[in-house]
Formats: sequence, structure tokens, C-alpha cells
Amino acid sequence: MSAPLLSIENLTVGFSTERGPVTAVRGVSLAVDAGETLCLVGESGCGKSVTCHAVLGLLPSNGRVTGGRILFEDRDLAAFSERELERLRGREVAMIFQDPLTALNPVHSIGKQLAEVLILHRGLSWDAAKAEVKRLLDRVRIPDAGRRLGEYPHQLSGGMNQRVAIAMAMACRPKLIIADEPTTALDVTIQAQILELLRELQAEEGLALMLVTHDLGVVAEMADRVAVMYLGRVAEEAAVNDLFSAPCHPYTRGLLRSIPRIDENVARLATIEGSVPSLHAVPAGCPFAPRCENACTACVEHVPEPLVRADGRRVACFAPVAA
Amino acid sequence: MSIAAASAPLLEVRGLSRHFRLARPWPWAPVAEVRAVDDVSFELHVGETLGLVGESGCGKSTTGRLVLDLLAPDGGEVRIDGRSIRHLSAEEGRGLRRKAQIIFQDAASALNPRLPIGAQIREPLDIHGVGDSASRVAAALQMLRAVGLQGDMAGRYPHELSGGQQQRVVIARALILQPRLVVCDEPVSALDVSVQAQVVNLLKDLQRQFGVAYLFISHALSVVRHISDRVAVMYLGQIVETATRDDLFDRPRHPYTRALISAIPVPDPRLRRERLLLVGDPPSAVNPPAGCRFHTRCPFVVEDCKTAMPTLRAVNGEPTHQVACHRVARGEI
Repeated sequence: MSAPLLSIENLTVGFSTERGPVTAVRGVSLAVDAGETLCLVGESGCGKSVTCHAVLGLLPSNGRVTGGRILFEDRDLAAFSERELERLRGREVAMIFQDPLTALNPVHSIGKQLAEVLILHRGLSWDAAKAEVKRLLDRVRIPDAGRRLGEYPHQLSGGMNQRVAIAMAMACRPKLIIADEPTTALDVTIQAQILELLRELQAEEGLALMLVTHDLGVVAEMADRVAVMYLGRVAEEAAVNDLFSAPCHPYTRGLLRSIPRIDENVARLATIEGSVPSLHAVPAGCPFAPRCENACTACVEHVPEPLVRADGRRVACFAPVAA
Repeated sequence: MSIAAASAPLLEVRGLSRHFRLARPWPWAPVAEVRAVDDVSFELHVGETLGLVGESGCGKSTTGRLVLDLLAPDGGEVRIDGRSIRHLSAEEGRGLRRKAQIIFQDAASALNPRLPIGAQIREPLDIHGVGDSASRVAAALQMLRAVGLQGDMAGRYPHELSGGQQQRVVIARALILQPRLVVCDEPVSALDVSVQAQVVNLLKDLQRQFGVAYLFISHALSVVRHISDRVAVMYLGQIVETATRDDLFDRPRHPYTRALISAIPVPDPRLRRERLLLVGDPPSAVNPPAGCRFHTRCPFVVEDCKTAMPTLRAVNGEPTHQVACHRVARGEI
């Protein structure tokens, strides 16, 4: 078996806040193979976005990687200088954000912004870049691409801007795209278009995709493998079919049971009692123990280590759900 | 349902419209008008939940505000218990507030940050002078417990609570006057999924307990399916389809409803559903398209869709299932 494209080993990320230091990511290990889609799913504060930002060195100024390694093709990104990261970003790993307007420059036309990327990173001439921009906009299915080149982000809809952001991410033919809630700000009919587009591009280009979402429906549609995160740790990681058909971690099971479905009626939704604790008051032991129906004494006292099971699944739980 | 349907509706909305004039970019520019709500009619019966769904900008929240007279309509009428809610005296207005309340998405901004939550839940009783002071305190405490919070939390301030707990406080305050109608505007959209389920269950339990009717406004169709008895789908300021919950989700007829439902990702990786993918974005409500407003994105569009505006008509032989589509009316799709 070849080494994974991206491998995150025991990553720990800390933030200094007004109320004291917090650890947002606590020993997360993940791997993304070439061409595969890994979904990170979890509720607010679980560390899914922070993990992604850490990979590209995009943590805010009060955040710091305090432990672990981030290996991209066997190079440790956590040890990269800002200059080296700049060369990597966009060229080998690209990112798509929830709000495309934060990724686009409001005072330049979309054609100019895209051309700039191509000239800067791929060394194209202005004329070659212009032709390539048109091809890219066609690829992300922007209708009438030739005319749109001169338009500015504020003239485009949210869905169109997200397509431009995807075109920009694709511009340098990266091997990995990290997408942080790319469709959360969009209406569902537009979300369906964007997910479809990501799937197509991925299949055609053999891209690896690391997709952060809170929507288990999106996970089911997009993922090859899923990592469920809770309070900075990976609770369970499994192939998408295994995770949905037989969740092992009580948190995964609780999440799956608590979502209403569009295609069936249920009398009453199952719930997970309580709410996600603050990062300032992370429980000792298993972070999910206070809300867990399976919790025992060991869960309250010790942090369960993720164990790899025979079927390739990783579960961090002392009292997993019986399969 | 059958009993409710036979009686007079609690809420009657007829031909409701609200247009917003946009500021002119220069003085001689033509006046642009957003037709946020355009000729909307529906009914809501005692103890029933009507889900009002649609994408951003479709006018669902504006409709919710118009129903409670928080916004003045440009046309049409809203009746609660058979009485118009417009041009009420101050006293009648207070009476309306006792009967009808609203819950917003952002609980934190709906609460007073400097008042303990017990006092906030009690406040409506103080304003309306219900009972004596001791009975109000007792009623607030009882309501606090009814929404699943501990009695000893009454002295806490909103910032000490989680998002889900804050929304419970908002719900308790809305229900303490025992209103007959609550407009819920995206009440669970800001909450994490595990907490969202708790609040949805709570809303259902309280409905059973107090017999309150909900106008449940949301873009989250799966939540709407779970909570609603009937559903109305809005597109660019108009209702395009309305039906009972099961008819709407299991037998949708309007092309927009079908696309909307098929666009929702289902949390089951083995299920690959037939998807009706729409092209393009919703057009602007400033100058909505002529004819059927959906015709610019509709995969089934024909010539007359572009000129004549369809009206709601009963389909499938069900008077409760109404669709505004020429081609559905002709039985072509």
C-alpha cells in the first residue's frame, strides 16, 4: 500500500483567548489517499474547520499547532516556513471556503483574479492565461463564460461566486482540495448543483477532497470515508457505508438518529441529551461521556484511544455500540 | 384534522401582498420594487402546524411578520379568529399579542442580556397584568420546567446558557400567555443537529399540551416534514404548492417542489435518488419574470408559462392539494 497523499498525525492545535488557553484539536490523526473524499463531520466546536486550516497554515494569529505532524507527500507542512506554505497553497493544495466572497477580491473582475493566479503560479503569459480562464469558467459550468470575465463578485450570485472560487482552486491543478462547508451558505437547489460539480471535477481530475460539513446528508452523498469529530477528537472513522449502516460510537449513532429525514415520517426524533460543552470546560476522560448513554466509570476517568478494528474502522470508545 | 377542518380557521390570510421600494441609485432612476410577498392566501386551524418553506428571498419571513402585523401589508387581509388585525386600538393590539406570538432564529438577540431568564419569562404576565405577583412567579417557574429547564436556572442570565437553552427560554416566554398561534421563524436553524432535535421535540410536546397552532417558517425541509401537518411552498413571493404533509413530500407535483425535495441530500449513502437538477439561480424579486415566476428555471417550460401567471388549483382530486402550474393543471406533467 502506498503512502497517503495527506497524513495528519496526532495533531494538536491551541488557541489563546481572553478567557485563557483552549485546545481546539487534541491529537487528531487522519489520512487522505489520492483521489478519495474524506468528510469531516461534527457539531460546532468539534475542531473540523481548525484541522483544515492548520493543514494549510491558515490558523488565525492566536492559534498555533502545538503538536503532531502534517505530512503531504512525506513533507511535514507543520515545519514549513510561510514562504514554503505560500508555494504549496493553490499549487498543490487548494481551499474552498463557506463564503466565496471572502476568497474573492471585490475590486478586481473575476477574469483578472483568475488570470493572476495562472500567471503567478503557472507562469502563463497574459494571452494564454486569458484563454485558460475562459476554459476554467466553462469547466465549472458558468454559462456565457466569455461575457462573465469582466464582471465583479458583487454582480454574481452566491452560487456563481462559489463556482468562481472552485475555478480558482482548480486553476493550478492541485492534488488535494480542502473544502470548508462549501455549500452551507447556499440554497439547497444551488447546493445540489455545486456538489454535483465537485463530484464531476473530482472524477475527471482524480482529485482528493477533504470536505468539512455539519450535514450528514452531504456526507452520505460525497464521502468515501468519514471522520466524526467531537470536541477536538476523532470519535469514529469509517468507510461511508459502514458508518451509516452500523455506527459504532454512541455519538455517531446519536447524531444519525437525531436528524429528521426528508423521505420518511418518524413519530419522535431521538435526541442526545445536553449540549456540546464549551472548549473552556472540556471534561476529563472521554469528551462525550457526560452525554453518553453507554458511559461507564472508565469513560469518565480516561480518554479512550482510537483503536483500529478488523474492518478498518477506528473507534475511540470504551463502550462502543454492539454491531 | 377533520374536526379542525370543519371549524372556522384560527388564521385566515387572503391576498396578502407587501412590496418594498428600493432606494434609487440616482434621483431620476426608475423606482424599483421588490415584490416580497405577492397575493398570498392560506389558512391555519386550531392546534395545527403549517410549514412555510422556500429558499432565501422567497418571502416566507416577510409573510410571518405580516401575519402578526409587525409589518404593514400593501394589500390583502389577515384575520385571527375571524377578526382583522389591522387598525386595532391599543387595547385590541394587546389582545392580539396575547393570542399570537413569534419566535425568531437568533435566541440570543431576542433575549434581554441584563435580565435573569425567570424574570424574562414572567414579563409578559406583568405587562398584561395576569394574576398577582406570586402566581406570576409560580407560572414562570412552571413554564421554565415545561420547556425542560431546571427551576433553579431562573436566576441565570442569557449568556450563561447554551444556544439550545436560550431558544427554550424564548419559547417559554412566547407560550406563557397561552397564545393560540405562534409564528416560528427558523427557530432551530442556528442550532447544532443534536440540539435541534431536542427543540423540535419540545415544540411538538408543547403543541400537544397547550393546543397552540404553529406557522413554521423554515428552509430546512426535513425539519418541516417532521413537524408540519400541512405545508406551503413559496417561490419569489408566491405560494406555488400547498398540500398535506404526506401529499407534499411523497407526491409533489409542482416542478419547483419536486426539484427542491430532490435536492435535499438524504443521510443514506446506499440510496441514490433520481434528482431533478435545476439550472441557474432564482431570479431577482425586483423585476420578477412575467408569467409563471419559475419559468426561467423550469425544466418543463412551454410557451404559455412565459406569459400567463398560473393560479393555485386542486390536483389529484384532493381539494387540499393545490398547485400553481399550467402543465400540472392540464395533466401534462
